[in-house]
Amino acid sequence: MRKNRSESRIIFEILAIIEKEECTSSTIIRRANIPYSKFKEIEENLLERELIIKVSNGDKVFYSITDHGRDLLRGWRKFKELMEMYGFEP
Amino acid sequence: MIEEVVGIIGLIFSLIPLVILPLKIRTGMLKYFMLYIFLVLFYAFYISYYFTGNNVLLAFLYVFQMLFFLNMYRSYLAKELFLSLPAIFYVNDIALIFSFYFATFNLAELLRNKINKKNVSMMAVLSLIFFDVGIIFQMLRILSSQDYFSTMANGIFLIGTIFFIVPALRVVRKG
Repeated sequence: MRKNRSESRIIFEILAIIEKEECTSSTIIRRANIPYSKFKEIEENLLERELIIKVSNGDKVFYSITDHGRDLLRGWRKFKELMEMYGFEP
Repeated sequence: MIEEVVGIIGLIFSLIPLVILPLKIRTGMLKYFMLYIFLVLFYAFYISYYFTGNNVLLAFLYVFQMLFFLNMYRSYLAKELFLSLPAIFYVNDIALIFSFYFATFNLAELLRNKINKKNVSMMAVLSLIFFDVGIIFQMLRILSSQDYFSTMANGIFLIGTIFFIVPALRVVRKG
């Protein structure tokens, strides 16, 4: 059974999904395996902190990561690797 | 003199991760950074006790040592423990027994993860071995001669601290 993920872990999983490729909200929800309400909450937070941006393409809205978001993701990966060395799963 | 050097080296080493790890990550992950903060507080009280000889500072030293291992064990503070803090302050031995308990369980957990091929650093395992040996040595010194500030135990604890900090240095160096 999968352990409950922390809020920060979900946020960084979403950032990692968007970093791979620009995607729509439904793709993010499916890949991150979170409910829509949770996604909206996190999306608002990420947009406010300018970690992601919304890009309109016709009638579809795509999400793209910013340089600031990429930096944060890099730092997070480093930190996650460090904590795993101590046996934690952040 | 040796105690002084041990304390200063310990404080410098325990401060390194707080300085070099990225600030943005640090603010979001406070519960993990408490791991390093308790170690810094331990050495800060160690030095204070060494220079003043005040027994209250010694009590704090033992409490922060215990909180360091407790935080590592659960990665958050168990609120139930705060109920027993007055007793721990009153009798340092209780804090040391708790430290031994948490450090040993951390070590068992890390070894289990290592056997299960998780990404656990051998340095972290080694550090806990030294921490555990240091605590056992301190307990023996208390039992044999009521020495609550053993140079040998503190030296072993310092070796554990250095091993504990190495993974942070390696991760930062990789960039």
